[in-house]
Amino acid sequence: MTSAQDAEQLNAGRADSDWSLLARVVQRDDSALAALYDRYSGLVFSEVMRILRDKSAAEEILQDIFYQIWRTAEKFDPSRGSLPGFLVVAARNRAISKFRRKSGREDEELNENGVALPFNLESAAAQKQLLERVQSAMASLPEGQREAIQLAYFEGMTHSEIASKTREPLGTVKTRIRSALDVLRKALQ
Amino acid sequence: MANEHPYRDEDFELYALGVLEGDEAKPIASHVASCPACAQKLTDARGRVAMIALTAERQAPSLAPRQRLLDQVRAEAAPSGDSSRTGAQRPPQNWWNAIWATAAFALAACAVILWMANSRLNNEIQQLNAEAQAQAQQLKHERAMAALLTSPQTKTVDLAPKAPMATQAGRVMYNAQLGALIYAGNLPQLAANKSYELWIIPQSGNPIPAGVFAPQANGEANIVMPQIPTGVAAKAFAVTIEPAGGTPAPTGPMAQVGAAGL
Repeated sequence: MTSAQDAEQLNAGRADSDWSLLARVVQRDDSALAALYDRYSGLVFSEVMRILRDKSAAEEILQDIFYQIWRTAEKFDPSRGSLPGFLVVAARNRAISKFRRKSGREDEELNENGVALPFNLESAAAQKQLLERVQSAMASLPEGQREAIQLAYFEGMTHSEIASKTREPLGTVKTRIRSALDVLRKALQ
Repeated sequence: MANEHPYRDEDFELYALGVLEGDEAKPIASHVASCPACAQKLTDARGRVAMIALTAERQAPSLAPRQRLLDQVRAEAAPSGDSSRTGAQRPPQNWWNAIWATAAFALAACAVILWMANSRLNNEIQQLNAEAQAQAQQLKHERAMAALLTSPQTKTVDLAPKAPMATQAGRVMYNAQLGALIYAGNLPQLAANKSYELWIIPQSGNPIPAGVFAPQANGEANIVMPQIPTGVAAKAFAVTIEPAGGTPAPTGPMAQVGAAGL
């Protein structure tokens, strides 16, 4: 946690940090928006594709989320969360709403949903390093825990819905998800 | 668990993951809304849960959404290329405000121009009216003169000079019925504080003033159609020297006089 905060603090002063690019977006610099898009579009698109499995719909959500960045960049409070964290949460919410065809929180305001990532993702190398750590943790999970947490995250299911889909007792589902989250938490420490 | 501090990180993670239902989720939502410390824990939990996104198979979008995004934001840019504006996109009302302001200014300018033209026309009309009135008055005057000159009741009276005040004569044409009179004569110049004054000496009653005048440089003097009463039978006519501006009754010496015999 401390190393991540240090890294983030060091990176915040860079000319191409998320904060500096957002500041340029506020000034209507579309090249800064393009830089943010190039930095995080792969992460966002991959997540949405995993949920929707529809390239056209996924690209539409991708474009909408970054357009929202363009429209509301001045509302972003760096003290409350990170930009990639917002992108990942916003993309998930929109994709799940579309996937489940139910009303949801589709317009995530940057200043209403703080998401503090434990690591800096501004570089491809940082993303790759973190990816390996998380994938390793998920791979270590028993099948039941991995299935439960993936149904929760990528399909937006609740405990009851997972229990119904997997035909497992509700208590078992709750235990599996808690255990999976515990592994993930420890992997990110 | 209402309003109690959730004591485990997993409680926040479960909430962030969205697996909690109804009675499980509401107490946490209610609590974090009023507890900054727990709100920060939820922010951190969201970050950890968001890492699950990294387990999705990495795929790349086509070039299309990037180009559409940039086309979209560039289409909103100001025509002048002003990149210093912050906040939301330019509201279209600014264009309408500019149009309305321009139209209002143009209307105001037209109103001023029309007002000036109207004022000028009013002045011209007033001037023309004054000229018409003057011409009507002149016409009336000239008709009266014509009547005086052509009337058989018009009498001509010669006025003899009275030395030393005058050495040359004068003449009066007078029509009592019309109340019209013309005087012509030749008299010496007077001091600045003096004036000549013509009198109608009636058959009875006091002399009637018939005009105050001064001779020209060559001595020629005349009075044309002064304001006098009608129907006055004149016994004589006289010119006296009075204080400048005349007097209601003769006070000075006589310069010319002539009996009317009317």
